[in-house]
Amino acid sequence: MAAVLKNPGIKRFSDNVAKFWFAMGPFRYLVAAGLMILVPVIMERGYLPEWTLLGYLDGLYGTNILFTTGVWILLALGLNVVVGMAGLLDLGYVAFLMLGAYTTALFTESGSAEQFHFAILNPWLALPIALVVAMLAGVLLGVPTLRLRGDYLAIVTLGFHEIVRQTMNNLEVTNGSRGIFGIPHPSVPVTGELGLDGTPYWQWLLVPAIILAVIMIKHLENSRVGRYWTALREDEVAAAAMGVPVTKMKVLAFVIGASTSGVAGWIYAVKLNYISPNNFPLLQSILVLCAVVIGGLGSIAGAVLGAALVIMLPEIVREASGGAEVFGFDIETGRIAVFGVLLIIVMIFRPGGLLAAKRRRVELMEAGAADMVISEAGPDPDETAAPVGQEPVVTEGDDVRAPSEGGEER
Amino acid sequence: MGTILKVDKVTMQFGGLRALGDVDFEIQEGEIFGLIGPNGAGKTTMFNCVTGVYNPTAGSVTFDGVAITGKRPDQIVEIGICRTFQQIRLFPNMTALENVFVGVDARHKTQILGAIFRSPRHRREEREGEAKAMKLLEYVGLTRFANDLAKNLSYGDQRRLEIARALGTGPKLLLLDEPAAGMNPVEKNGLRDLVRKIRDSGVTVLLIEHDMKVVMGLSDRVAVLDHGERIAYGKPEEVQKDPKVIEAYLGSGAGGNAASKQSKQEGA
Ligand SMILES: Nc1ncnc2c1ncn2[C@@H]1O[C@H](COP(=O)(O)OP(=O)(O)O)[C@@H](O)[C@H]1O
Ligand SMILES: [Mg+2]
Repeated sequence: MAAVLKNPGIKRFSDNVAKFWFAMGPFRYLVAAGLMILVPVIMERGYLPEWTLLGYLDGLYGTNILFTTGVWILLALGLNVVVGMAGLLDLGYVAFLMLGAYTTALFTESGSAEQFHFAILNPWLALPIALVVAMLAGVLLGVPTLRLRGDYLAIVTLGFHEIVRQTMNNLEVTNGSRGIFGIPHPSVPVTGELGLDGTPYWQWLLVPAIILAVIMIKHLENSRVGRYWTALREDEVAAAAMGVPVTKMKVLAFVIGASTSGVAGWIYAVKLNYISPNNFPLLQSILVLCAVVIGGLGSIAGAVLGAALVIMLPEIVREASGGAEVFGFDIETGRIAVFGVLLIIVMIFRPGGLLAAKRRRVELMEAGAADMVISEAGPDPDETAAPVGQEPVVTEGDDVRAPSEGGEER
Repeated sequence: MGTILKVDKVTMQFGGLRALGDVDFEIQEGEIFGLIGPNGAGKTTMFNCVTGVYNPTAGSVTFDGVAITGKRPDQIVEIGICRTFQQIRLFPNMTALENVFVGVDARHKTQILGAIFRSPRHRREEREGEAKAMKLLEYVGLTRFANDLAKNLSYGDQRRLEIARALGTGPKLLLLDEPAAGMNPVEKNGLRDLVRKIRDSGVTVLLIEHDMKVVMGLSDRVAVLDHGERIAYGKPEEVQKDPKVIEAYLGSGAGGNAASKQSKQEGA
C-alpha cells in the first residue's frame, strides 16, 4: 500500500497537469471561458462518454450540479483570499453566502402575502445590496475578532456561521425554519426570465461572476495589497513593523472574501427560488475549506478545481456506484467519506494542493533542499551562527512577547 | 542638528518585573547612538516601546517633536522610524526582493480599488517600487539573491536583508537590534561599513549591540542599561571607563573581555 501511495508517476502526472495549465499563459483564461460556456450544453445533451466521469452528469440533473459547482467556485475563490492569501483560518465562511441569499429574499417579491420585506425590488437590484450586506458582514465579523490568532479565530468564525444560521432560523422576518419561497428569477434580454434550469444561470451569471472574481483576485495578488496579505501570513509582527496596517488589511481580506459569496448567495437564491436555514449546514463551511485545501491554499486555479471536485465527485460517485455497497455501507450515503480519502491522498502526494500556489510550491521544494544543505554543512565559522539554510530563528518569542501573558501563540 | 528622538522616563512593567525603569536619553539627528547592556537589561524592550509594539507603563517617547507613545507600529513607520529584529523576522517564503518591496510599500498610496482596477498610480508604484527595492538590495550587497527566498539566504545576508527592508520604508531613524549577532568577523566589518554608510546617507541610527568592539567603534554616543536602569550615558570612551559599566558587564569585576563573555552567554 505504502509503495503505491509513494508512486512518483502519480505525482509527476499531477505536476504535469499543473505545468500544462500554466504554460498556456493568458490563453488559459480563454480556454476556461470557452469550456465554461460549452460545458453545460455538452453535459446536458449527454455527449460525454461515461469514462470522462462528467458523462455521468447528464440532463437537467447534470446542469443543476454544474450550477452548484459554479456557486461553489465563487465560494472557494473568496475563501481562498481569506485563508490562502491572508492566512486567516475562517471556518464559518458560508455565513456570507447565507446573508447574500437572505438579503436577496428580503429585497425581492418573495414569500407569502404576510412575508416581511425591506423593499420589493427587481431581482437585479437586489444583487448590489446582497453584495454590500455580505461585505459589511465581513467588516462586522472582522473588526472585533481579528485580534485573535489562529485557532481562536477559527472557533469564532465557526460560531459566526451558527449564529447567522440560528438567527435566520428563529427570526420572524425570515420565516424561521420554514424558509422563504418564491424568490423571483431575474430576466435577461432576448431569452427573458432565467427559469429553473441551471444552464442559463451558469452562462449568464456564474461564468461572468467567476471571471470577474478571478481577475479581481489576480490583480490584488500582484499588488501592494497582495504583498501585505502575504507578509501578514508570513509574520504578523514583522509586517506591522514594516508599516502594514494589520487590522485594516485583515478586515479587507474578510471583505474581499465575503464579496464573492455575497454574489454567490444572490445567484443561489434567485435560481433556487427557495432558501431555508437547512440549506446551509455548518458542514458546508468545512467543505468549502476542503475545496480550497485540496486545490491548493493561495492558488486561484486550485480553488476552482477544488470546488469542482468537492461538488461533482460525490455526485459522480453516486451515479457510478449504482447502489453498490462496500463493507455493508452503500456508497451513496457514504460519499462524503470520499473526501476524507481524497484529502488524505492529496495531502500525502501534494501537500501544497493539486494546483499549488507558486509560492507554496517553491516552499515545499526548498524544504527538501534545505535538509541536504544542513547535513553537508561543515563546522561554523562563528559559534553563534546558524547553519546555512536552517531557519535562524531557533528560540521563538525572545524579541516580542505579549506583555506578561504566556497564553498567546508567539 | 536637533534632537530627533527623546525618551523621557520610560518605564515598562511586566507584572512584577520592571524591564525598564525611568529611562531617559536623547538622540541627535545624524548620529549613531549605541544602546548597550548585558542580556536582559531591557534593550529590546526599549525598542518595542519606541516602535509601538509595547505601550510603556509610564513615560513618553517623542520623535521629531511629535509624541509617539501609544501609536500603532504602522503609524510609527509612517512617521519615520523603522527597525530590525534581534531574532531575524523576515518573510521567509517571500523573495529577497519581495521582502524589501513590502518595506517600500509603506510609502505607497495604492489602495484596494486602485489595485483591482490597476490605476495609473498603482502601475507607477509597482514599477518604481521594484526599482527602489532592487537599488536597496544593491545598497546592502544582495543583488544576486534578489529572487531567492529570504529563508535560503545565509545568516549574515538575512541580517543585511532585514536592514534593506527597513530602509525601504524610508526611515529618518533606523533601529538595529544586535545586527552583528551571529556574524563572523568579516561580516562584522562589512556591517560596520554599512551602518556608517547609512548614517552618512542622512539616516540617524539607534544601535543595540553586544559586541563592545563593534559598538564602541561605531557609536557617537551610547547609553548603558542594566536591569532596566540607565547606568551610564555619554561618549563611548568615557562610558567604557565608568566603574558601574565595568561592574555590570563583568559581574564581580573578574577579568576577561566583556564582549566575548556576552557572546557566549547569548548562544544564538
Ligand atoms: N513580553 C514580556 N513579558 C514579560 N517579560 C518580558 C517581556 N519582554 C521582555 N521581558 C523581560 O524583560 C527583561 C528585558 O528583556 P529584553 O528587553 O529582551 O533584554 P535585552 O534585549 O536587553 O537582552 C527580561 O528579563 C525579559 O525576560
Ligand atoms: Mg535583546
